[in-house]
Amino acid sequence: MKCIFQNEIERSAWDYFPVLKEIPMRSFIEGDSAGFQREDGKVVDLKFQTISAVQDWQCKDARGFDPETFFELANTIGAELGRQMMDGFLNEVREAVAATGNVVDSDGTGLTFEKLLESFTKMQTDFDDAGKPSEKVLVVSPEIHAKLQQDIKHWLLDPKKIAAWKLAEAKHRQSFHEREARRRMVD
Amino acid sequence: MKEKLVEEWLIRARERGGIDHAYSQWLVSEGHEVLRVGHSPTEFGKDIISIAPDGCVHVYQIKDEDIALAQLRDIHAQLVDLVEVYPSHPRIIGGLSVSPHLITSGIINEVAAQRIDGMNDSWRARGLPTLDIVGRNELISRFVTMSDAFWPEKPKDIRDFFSFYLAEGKGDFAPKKFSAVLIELLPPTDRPSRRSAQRLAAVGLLGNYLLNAFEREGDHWSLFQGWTMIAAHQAWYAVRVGLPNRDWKGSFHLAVHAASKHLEALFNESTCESGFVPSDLEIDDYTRARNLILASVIAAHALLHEDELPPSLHERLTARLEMLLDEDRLFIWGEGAFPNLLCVQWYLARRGRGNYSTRILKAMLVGLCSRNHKHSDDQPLAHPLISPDDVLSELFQPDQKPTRDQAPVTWTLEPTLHILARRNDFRLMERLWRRISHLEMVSFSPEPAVDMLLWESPRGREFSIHPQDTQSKSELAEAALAGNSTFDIPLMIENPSFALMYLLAYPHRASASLTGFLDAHFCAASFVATAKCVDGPV
Repeated sequence: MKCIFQNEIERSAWDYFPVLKEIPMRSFIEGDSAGFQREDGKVVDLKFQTISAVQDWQCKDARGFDPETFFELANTIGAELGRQMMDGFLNEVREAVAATGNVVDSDGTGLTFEKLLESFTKMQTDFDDAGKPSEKVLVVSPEIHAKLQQDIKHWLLDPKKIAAWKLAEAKHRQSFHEREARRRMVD
Repeated sequence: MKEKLVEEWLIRARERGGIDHAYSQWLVSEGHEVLRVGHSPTEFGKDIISIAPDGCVHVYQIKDEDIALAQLRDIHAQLVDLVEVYPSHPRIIGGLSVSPHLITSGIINEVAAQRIDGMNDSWRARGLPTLDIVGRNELISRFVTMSDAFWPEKPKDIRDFFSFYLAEGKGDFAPKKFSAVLIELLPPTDRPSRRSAQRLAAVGLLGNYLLNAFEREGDHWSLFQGWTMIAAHQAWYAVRVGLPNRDWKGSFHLAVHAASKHLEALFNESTCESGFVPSDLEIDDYTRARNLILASVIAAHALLHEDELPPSLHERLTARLEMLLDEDRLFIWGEGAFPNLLCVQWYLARRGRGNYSTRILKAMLVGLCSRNHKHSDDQPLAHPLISPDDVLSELFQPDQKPTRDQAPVTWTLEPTLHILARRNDFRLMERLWRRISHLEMVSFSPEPAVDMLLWESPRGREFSIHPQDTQSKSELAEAALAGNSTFDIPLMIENPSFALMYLLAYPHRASASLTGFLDAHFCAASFVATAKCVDGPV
């Protein structure tokens, strides 16, 4: 039962924000610190943070929980843990973006095509062996998401916008090829 | 309870690899220096030779049976050799006082004891030493007394201890749990003492009970891992406590010897005609994974005893390993297979098969580039700690637990690159460098460094880094050569044989420095001779 409860917590945590499922996980098995070296050579220490969620329940005499309540309890805990993981993740991204100066300010105008294009231009983009650009994930509120779906439909009908997007992609492709060309062995 | 457990163990334990090692540990705890443990046609009745603290030489014949008159007659010649033939060992000069002993885990009956008394009278009359006899009851008393103060006491530790004693003994050896039990048995103290040394020897004895189930089932791979871990934990404890060499090396070497004997037993099984035939219905990948383990056992044993094996056997072993490679009979189940692959390629390199050796390293490199790449559609090669059983279970019987993709990092890329660079073999690296430079190399440095002897180190730093975009070959070669010179674990440097066994038993410790050190030890000369063969097919 404990194992089922635990699995359900984990599932709910990831379901809370599906983008979490897309991020590959790495388990730290031993030691008490970790770090990595960035592409610019800077060594970055990883911060380990504990997250927790509290949920109360009362057990009645000789009576267990019905399945719905049992899973609901796990879901509630999982969702709270998922929310905290996502907050931590977004904070890290915010800090990294601020540190690199890649912030795109919407200036109160919302997510216009120009702002989206600016974001795309500022993000490093890699391409796979088939020449397909790496996928980007835009994290927005449900309201903005609905509006954006509509906006994108209109933007796709505008040849100028498509051309601007393709130009940005072409620049990314060129940068990517330049970067990749540096990846080689020399004497 | 302790007496009953020891008695039960003694009833089951075998003369070789059981009672002889346990008794040797007891001798060490009594301050003896054990000069030899072993069984050979030239032993002349002496399974163990030791020197007592007073300088007296002791020789022992070990038996695992009840001794009545009939058995006494069967071993009469051995006992005569034991008493009458002066021990032959480089450390023993002529004219020393020698005390012979007959040790058995069985019961010596009264008639047999009387007969030995008679034999002793006769030897005494001829000015020869007399035979001391030790039966099961005396052994129980000695073993219990020796380890009495060091048995686990907390309920959890007792439970863990018995979970090993009562294990099935067929492939269910759990290294992490085993390490935890050993750490509990070896709590570091502030200062070294005679008691610390006794504790160390006691762990060598208790190890026999812990591994009893695997001994019973003849699971030599688990026994090899278990004894290697016991030796490693003893060394860790000795370094942490600051014990002088004389207080721990004896016990350590006995544990290494036990591990080596199980490696030899598995080698013997693997080299018989049906050594690689599955004993039961199984999926081919499982067979291929076991093939790789057995191949590495063959290679490791042959590396450790290279001069003792006849040339014809070396030829047969080499042909066997070549066949396994040619017919794709080895399965790289994950990065945990790396030490096994290294052993095979070191042996083949030493046998002048540099092309096969390099093929193995290149296969590993290609595997990492294709599977541990961030754009790979395939699952990355599993973490070194994940066993072949777990990898195959996941492959053929994925459970319902929610899973997430593992970040495609690699623990074995750096050592692979270093070994290829040490051999000045850059052709494949050049071709693959674009992909290689995208891989994320991870390493772990325990703090303090000696904690690498534990299965898991509580302190230490995990660090990941990408290879350089533009990599100079000469710089990589320099880094590779410098890598093994930074290896600074004296225990391993003094004992490359133990370092090799450790690498096999601790697959997650295959760092660039350890593998570089072993590569330099086993292969430095081989590749001068075979440097022209290294561009074989991948």
